[in-house]
Amino acid sequence: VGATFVSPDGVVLVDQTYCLGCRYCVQACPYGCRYLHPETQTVDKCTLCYHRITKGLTTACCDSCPTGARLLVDFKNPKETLHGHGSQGLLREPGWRSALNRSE
Amino acid sequence: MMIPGVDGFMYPNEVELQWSVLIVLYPYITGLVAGAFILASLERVFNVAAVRPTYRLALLTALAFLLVAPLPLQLHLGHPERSLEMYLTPHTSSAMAMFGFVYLWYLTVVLLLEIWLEYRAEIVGLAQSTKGLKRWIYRALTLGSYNISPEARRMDDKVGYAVTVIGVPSAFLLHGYVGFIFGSVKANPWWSTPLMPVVFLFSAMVSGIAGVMVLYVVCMKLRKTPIDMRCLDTIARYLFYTFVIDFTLEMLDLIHRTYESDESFRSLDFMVHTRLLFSHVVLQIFLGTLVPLALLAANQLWRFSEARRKAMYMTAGALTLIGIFAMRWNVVIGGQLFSKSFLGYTSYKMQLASREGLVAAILLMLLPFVIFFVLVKLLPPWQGGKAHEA
Repeated sequence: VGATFVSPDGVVLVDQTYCLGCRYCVQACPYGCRYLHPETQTVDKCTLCYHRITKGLTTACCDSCPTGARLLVDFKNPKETLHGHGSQGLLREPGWRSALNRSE
Repeated sequence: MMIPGVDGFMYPNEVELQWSVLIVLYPYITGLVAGAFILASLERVFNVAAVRPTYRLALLTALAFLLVAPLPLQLHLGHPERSLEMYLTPHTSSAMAMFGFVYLWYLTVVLLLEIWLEYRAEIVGLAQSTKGLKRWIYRALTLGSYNISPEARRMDDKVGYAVTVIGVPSAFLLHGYVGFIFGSVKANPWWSTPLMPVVFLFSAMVSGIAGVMVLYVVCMKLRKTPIDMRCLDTIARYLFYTFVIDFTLEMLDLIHRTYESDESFRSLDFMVHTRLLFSHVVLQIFLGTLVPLALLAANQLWRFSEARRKAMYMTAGALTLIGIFAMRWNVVIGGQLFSKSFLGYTSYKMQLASREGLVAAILLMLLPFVIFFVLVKLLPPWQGGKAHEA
């Protein structure tokens, strides 16, 4: 039904009020990223910590990684991380958009 | 910690199967619809007069199964109440959503219209001769049209013919599309092949023809009427032809996969030799294909007595229906038993009395027969022996 959408800043999210739970997208994902939430009976996935990155924070997994192996980077400029851009909002950075919309 | 039934590495969402036995029923039931309709159209479009006795039977079978086809999907959904959104906000890139339109087209434009035109004269007759509730049902079924003059009937016949001509590609589309839903999942190497819609289509024809053949014999036995052997022989011959094509396509797919041996091959090959050994090799290929093919082929080569022919056809038909069910099982369940990382395997644990369990599946498989029974009572398929003029 098109419950999965790309947010204006490039993050793929699922509309929980719209998803029917048919799980066709689960079958279509080669990385096993999607699952049916047992309570809502709708499909859920990693939101790239949308609630955090929209506030200028990095994702929780990058934050907690003990060796810093996980980095949020722009694919076109992998040397410079996108962490710690402060409260000005990471998503407004042009690098972010290209990192997330790299398929476009 | 090891989870029972799981070997090697699985992605977390792969341990439990997303699509259950109900999703096995969905292509199985839809296939029976498409196959039954194509058998009916043999008489109408391709003028195979010998199968006339099964024309109406095939149409009613198709309708009974088509009405049930979306139910397993509905039961499977996390939010069935939202399913109509597919029609309200169609999402054209989703193969699943577009199926809704294919289904609706087939149900309303093809099947209901054709049945109505075929039965119209009798419905009008019954609306005038019956009493009480039945009279009201038939009056509603006439849709307000009581004109059954020879001229009007000729028109019905013409339109009915046109509907069948549109109906054949529509039936192809209906089941080809079910194959496409699986064949287009690029992430799953067991499903993703352009041959999938074609294989589904031919297996649908095989199962539908076998289904109507078995149903015809059973109905005749129950009604204690003699079986038209010319009709039965002809159906069996067409079953043999379509089966040969179907088997060839499936083997072609197998040879292609084996020869190509891409990165997924070892994983899939291991699965077929272990977890799918019984349902794939024994049930689908041997009992469900080679044995019925041999029985049908023997009938093309030698002439057997009538009783023996009946027994052979019935055995072949029943085995075919089991074999095609096994094929759907192997596609749907088999496609979820291996990890997309190709490093592990899981197993399917069918539940018993849950919403997607065995009991629900059995009830859903019985429901078409209940609908069929009602339809036969309402619209008797036994009269109307006259052939179409078309």
